Amino acid sequence: MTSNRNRRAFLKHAAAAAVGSAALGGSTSAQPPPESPDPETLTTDRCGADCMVDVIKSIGLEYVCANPGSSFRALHEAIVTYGGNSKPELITCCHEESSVAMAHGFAKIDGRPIGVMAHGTVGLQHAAMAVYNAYCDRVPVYIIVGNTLDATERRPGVEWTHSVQDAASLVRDFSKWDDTPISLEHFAESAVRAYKLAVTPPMGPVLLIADSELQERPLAGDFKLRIPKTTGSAAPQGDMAAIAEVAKLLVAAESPVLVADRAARTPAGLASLVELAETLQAAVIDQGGRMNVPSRHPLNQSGQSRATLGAADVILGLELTDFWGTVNTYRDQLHRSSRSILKSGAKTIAISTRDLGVKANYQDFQRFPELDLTIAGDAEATLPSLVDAVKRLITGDRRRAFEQRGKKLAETSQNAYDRARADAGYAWDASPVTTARLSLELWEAIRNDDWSLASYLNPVSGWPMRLWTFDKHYQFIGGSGGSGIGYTAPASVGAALANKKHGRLTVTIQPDGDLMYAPGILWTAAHHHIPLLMVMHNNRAYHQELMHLQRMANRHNRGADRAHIGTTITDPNIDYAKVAQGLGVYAEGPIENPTDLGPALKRAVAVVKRGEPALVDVVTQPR
Amino acid sequence: MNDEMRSRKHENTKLAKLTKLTKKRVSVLRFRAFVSFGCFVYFVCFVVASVVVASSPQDVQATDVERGKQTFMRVGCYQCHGREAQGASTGPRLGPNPLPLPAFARAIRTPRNEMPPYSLKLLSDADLADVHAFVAARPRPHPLPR
Repeated sequence: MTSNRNRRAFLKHAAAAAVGSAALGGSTSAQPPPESPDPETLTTDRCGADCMVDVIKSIGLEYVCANPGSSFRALHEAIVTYGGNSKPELITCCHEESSVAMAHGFAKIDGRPIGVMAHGTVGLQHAAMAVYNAYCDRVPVYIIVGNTLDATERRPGVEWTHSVQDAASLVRDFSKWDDTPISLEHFAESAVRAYKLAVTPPMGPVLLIADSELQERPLAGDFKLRIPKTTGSAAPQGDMAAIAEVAKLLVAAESPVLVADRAARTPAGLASLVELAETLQAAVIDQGGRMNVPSRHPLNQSGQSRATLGAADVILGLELTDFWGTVNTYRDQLHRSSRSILKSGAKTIAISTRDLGVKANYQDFQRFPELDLTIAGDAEATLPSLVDAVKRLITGDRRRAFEQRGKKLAETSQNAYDRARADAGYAWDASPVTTARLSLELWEAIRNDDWSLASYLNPVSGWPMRLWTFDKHYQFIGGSGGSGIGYTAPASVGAALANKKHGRLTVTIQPDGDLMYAPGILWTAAHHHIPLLMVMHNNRAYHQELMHLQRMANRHNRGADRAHIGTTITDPNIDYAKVAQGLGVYAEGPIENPTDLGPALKRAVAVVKRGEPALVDVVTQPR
Repeated sequence: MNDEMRSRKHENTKLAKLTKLTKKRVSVLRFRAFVSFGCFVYFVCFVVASVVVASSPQDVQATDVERGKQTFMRVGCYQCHGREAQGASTGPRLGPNPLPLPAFARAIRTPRNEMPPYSLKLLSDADLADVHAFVAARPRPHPLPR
């Protein structure tokens, strides 16, 4: 509705301009007059895009990722010249999906969004999948799209195919907010509002349409745009009475379990969750949406989540993507079935912002969970109050009971780690290389550095979380959110860009199918000297889909003989080292003999420590 | 000793000889029956033992293992359990100490979890036993340093 009103106002002003009014936006004091209406005046020293750059600098976007496009040519030019190509610095991407996914990965490390520029039509269509991932993952991405709304201003030909009435409508179902400003002051105000909304939980991608006429409008040399100050909102905290009730349940429980998914957005979130767990000596299950709890913490029971949940009498879910799926098993057979894994009488509690940002069309909100208590609020912001409330209720008797509980949990946790080490030894010398060995060889290569793992762990059976010691928030950033393939490579480059100023060694275990969506991101990493160690998990398949095909084939009694058709990436096998080398990245492989892996990783780490990307292609077991 | 007595003694001797002979024959017959029964028991034991031996990791035939490996790959077991049956997040480790063959077969034919079911049409009993032999023959794990 807002954008419709804006469009009507815009057209009204445009009509006024057509009958001789001063300029787009009419004569209001907010609108800068054009430097000259004379068509023979061919140059200007200032333009609207300069003001847009001032706005972007005011907001604090450190980078803008873009594949170049004529609909934002003035803004592009202003960033790199007027703005000095510094804060924001332009990052050249080979695909708009890469641009958005880079921003996605950056924000998860840094906590702040960076910018993306794209055509409002073809660029945003390329970007849409990555926007959906960021939306599902509740990650702020700041997208500016170019468009030419005034039909009388469009150049004949391609500018018409690159123009659209309502550019943001394409992604409105899965973005948090958008606007189509019709004046520079409107742009400034909406830009600040967009930033504020993007970083207020539940976070999400926002879009601002930069009309080409506004960008290219000549301005008087002394024109100064008023830019509202950027003020973030404190994250919404849960209701205090409800928090007191939760504290009472947790303290009285015999087997409380804390389950966290996208709970810890910052180091403070991780620290708060650990404090709550240690205060209660309660089991914690990290579902991996963020780095919620140290992997080797004695209360971490993620390796035996089902048994832990089955024994629980109180379960507190913190920013869970899927509470229903957490407490139910689901059987994907010919006749689908499910059953609860909870014991009778177990209490379920949620603290989450999910209900504050839900939309109707795309179904990422999951099945409705029947809970005993739901608190609408940001888990990270609510945890300190909950910790305080819990501490106030603990008696000496309860503390002694907690200590006993903690000892048992520590033992279970240690056993899980020992079991993981033993399991990792199976098929140690196998070729293709097991994902367990790949994970341990990589761990040996980086464990003494300040490292950050940017990839999700499902494709490698979660081995790093079972075997490595994760204890800092930037060491793990979860997955894509929407499970849209093509996320890992660009998000890892974005994460590496965010880690660069901290001198961290960023590594990613890169699935082959994911890289092939937009491998040009390797060139971006090389071009901008972004240090990243990319270790290929090259199982030569879209393996998740291969398993689905087999499931269908078995279910239909036809066998898996043809399940490879359309699901494998063979014949020819892709030589990722050559691909990477062709894009300017140091690369080795394909490695099939597991004994070759350790030395190759050492050489690649040395390259990354010199500030450049490197790739090691490893031919791997399926999972 | 009169004639009657001699005659009775003779008869007794004959009877005794006959009885001895009969007893001998009975013993032979019993022995034969025992041997036959023993052979039967031995045969049954042999059959049972053959089945047991086929599922024993120590004595599997190399040909069974090789056939099992081919089947393991052909019918897609490796997709979830790994090429060496080492296990993954998608399917548990299967060897080198698999479930006993009957339980192994049940888990494959009528899985209670999410595993795709393998009907007889997709995997014969013989092929299934070969797969069992293959996973049973997987090497022990490499010990990792602490």
